[in-house]
Amino acid sequence: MYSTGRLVTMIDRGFGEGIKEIVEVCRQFTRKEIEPVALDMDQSHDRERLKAIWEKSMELGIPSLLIPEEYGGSDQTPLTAALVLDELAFGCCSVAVLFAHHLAACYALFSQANKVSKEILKLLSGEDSGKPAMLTLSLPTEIERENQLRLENSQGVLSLSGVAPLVGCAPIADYIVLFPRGDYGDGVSLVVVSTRSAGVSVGKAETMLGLNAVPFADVTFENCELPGKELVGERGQMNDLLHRTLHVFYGFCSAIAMGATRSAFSKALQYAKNRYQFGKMIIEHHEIRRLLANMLIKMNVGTAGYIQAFVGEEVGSLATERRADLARIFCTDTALQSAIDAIQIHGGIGYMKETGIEKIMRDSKMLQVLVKSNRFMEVDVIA
Amino acid sequence: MANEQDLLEYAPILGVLKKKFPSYIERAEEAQRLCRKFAREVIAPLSLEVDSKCAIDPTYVDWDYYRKAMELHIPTAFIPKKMGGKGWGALDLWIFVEEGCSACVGLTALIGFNMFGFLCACVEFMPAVLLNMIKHMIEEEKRGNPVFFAWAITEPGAGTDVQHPAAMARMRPSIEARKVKGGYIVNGRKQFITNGNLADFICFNAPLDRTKVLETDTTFMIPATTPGFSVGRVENKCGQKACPTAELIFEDVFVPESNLWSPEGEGIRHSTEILSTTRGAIGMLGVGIARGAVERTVRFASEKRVRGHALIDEGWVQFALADILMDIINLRHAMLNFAVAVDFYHVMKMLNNPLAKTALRITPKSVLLSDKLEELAGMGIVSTMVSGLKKKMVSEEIISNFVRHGSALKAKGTDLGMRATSICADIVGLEGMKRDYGIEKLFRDAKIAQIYEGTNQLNQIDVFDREVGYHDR
Repeated sequence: MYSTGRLVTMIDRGFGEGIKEIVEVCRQFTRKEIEPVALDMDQSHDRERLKAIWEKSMELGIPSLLIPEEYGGSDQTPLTAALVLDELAFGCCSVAVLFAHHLAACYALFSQANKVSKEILKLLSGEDSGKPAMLTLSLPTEIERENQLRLENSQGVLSLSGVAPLVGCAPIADYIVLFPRGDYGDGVSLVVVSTRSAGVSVGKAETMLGLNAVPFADVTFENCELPGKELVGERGQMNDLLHRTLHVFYGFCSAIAMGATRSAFSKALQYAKNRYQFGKMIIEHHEIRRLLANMLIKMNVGTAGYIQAFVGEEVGSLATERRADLARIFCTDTALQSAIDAIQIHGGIGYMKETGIEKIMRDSKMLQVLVKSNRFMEVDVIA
Repeated sequence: MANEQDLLEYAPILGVLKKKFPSYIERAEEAQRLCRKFAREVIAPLSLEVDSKCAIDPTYVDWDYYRKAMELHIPTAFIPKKMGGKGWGALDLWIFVEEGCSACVGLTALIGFNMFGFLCACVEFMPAVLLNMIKHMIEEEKRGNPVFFAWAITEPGAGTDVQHPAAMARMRPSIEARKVKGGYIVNGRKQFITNGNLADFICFNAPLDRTKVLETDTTFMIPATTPGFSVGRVENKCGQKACPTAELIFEDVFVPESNLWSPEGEGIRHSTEILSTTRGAIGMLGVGIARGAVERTVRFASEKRVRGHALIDEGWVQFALADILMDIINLRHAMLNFAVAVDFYHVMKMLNNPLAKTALRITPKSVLLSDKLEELAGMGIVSTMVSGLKKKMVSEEIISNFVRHGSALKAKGTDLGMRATSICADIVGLEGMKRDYGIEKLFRDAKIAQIYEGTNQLNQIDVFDREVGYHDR
């Protein structure tokens, strides 16, 4: 049961047929559309393939999961989105991270839908074209830079200037959701900008350790004027939303990490059953069993942990922020350790590109450092 | 920073040793200066470029780099001074490994793993073979031609099994050497062989009888030009890309009796003896990786600012780095201690023993590298005598003790490499995962060290067996 990559915790909790069905459909989508190309996308950094997966995912309605029904979406909860990401990550973390950026951006914007201009909402939800736009988001990082992104007001005209560093999917996304500071006190604002606007330039994709299919690039704003519709709500009033979005994103990272862990676990289990060493199949060796057991233990606890982060007063809504932080640390640490151990169980072959486990190791390390690294978060989770 | 400290600051005990053996320690100090300069000026600037080229073509080798190393006589450094080398012992090699790996593991391994060939020959200590090998390497180096050796023990179906007697007894090998008139016919495959596609000479193990591997496993050597031998796939790896890993294919390869390197049935003894020294060096490799990661992280954290101060002024950063530094300091003591022991108690002592030293000193260089001496050394009686002397000096007990210590160092050193690169990645965060900072590369490089030279789990078994005694498992 475990080796087939099913989410045990979810079934136990009885989240209802609707969610189960969505997750099952995404599981098949992962097998059919993602797994066969994951290794290739990792090596070739081929954006067209990633876009093709995005296009196909529209048939399943994955991009519009968090868009309200009135805008043509399926109005699902962040929990459902997390469970979907878990399934997608089983096939490829990069693909899941693309959707995590998009879905977290959707969460931020559509929670303020009444404040977003109707025109932009139409474009985002694809009400006219039938195709929702691809969003990404830039969450403020800790590292300070001279050209920090700022929202400025010059004689009644709002404009953005500065750099949003290493924005995931920026080179392929249609819109970027940003939380800039500005000359109006401590608060952050919420802005949604088209990547094709005047004054926006998306840099070249950086080569990073992992998540190779996702292009990470700096986005530079040079006097990018906002004629008014791009700003959502009041300036400086979006601190709460930023925190909620951050925690949704961390919750999504946790879900992706659990999908990655399940993948590493199932590969290692499969291999251990078939590899002969020291006179027996290696699954018979206690040390191998211990490594596998640890993956299984942490996978179950981690899955429960991230689900809990999304179980607020109403099932599927966002719970207190701490739970998402804790889940992100635990789940992504688990993913990395599981991948390292899964390679160890494979021996030399696990270090080669072909088994796909070294990819999980590299991707998991990236999940640990998205936005803010786990070790950095650890000193801040205690209030 | 560690990269500013000299050898005696690393390990003050070596200062005590220096009083008794001044030339031994001075040679090591000189080796450290040379390797540090080479690592900084040659290895480090090439590291990322070679890594990306190899990502596109796993067979890519930076020959300019290798030639630069040859100009400094690093690939032949272990050859006695009188015969054209630097007379390096284990201590000097360990220093090379740390300094080199802190800059780039792959480029260091390209040179370092090539020394396996010499070790394979040293272990049996057949004077004619050794002299021939030394002569060949020195002559080719003068012409600017590299000579590569590969040591092939891993098989497609067996990695751990070939390194432990109890495992070997039950293994299912693909390779077999059938005895025929005047030699052996070898068929089968070897996998994940470092420098396998570059090798001019391959030292490999094969059983004479597939059903009695432990009893019949034997070490052979062939030139890569031998008919029936070919290189299969060159692997596309996660890291350590500058040093290629290849599959070797043997199809009816005839090996003459003269190329038998271990006595029949002593293959595992031969492997164990090599591993008993090299595992220590792999542990040092882990320490080098950890040091490289810390150095890069300190640089990054000193430049970048968070919350109104430098990243390195964050307490959590300092504690995380201090934790790694402690392990580096502690393990380095143990590694250098082990290296000195290899020089004084293991194969290296053959070259250092008074008899060999006197012989090297009084024999003119022209004779040392001549065919006459090689002929003399090749005579049965001389060969048996020297090999016998070596076995007497390096007993089974000594080897067993070195396996115990070497395995402990290998596992802990390489675990440190993995942990240190992972923590350093956490410190530098997403921004620090950009290729140019070199930290992501060290993270990729670190993982394989936990696997080769016996998985760390096999090393645990080896330590247990020698500390507590062999128990069936």
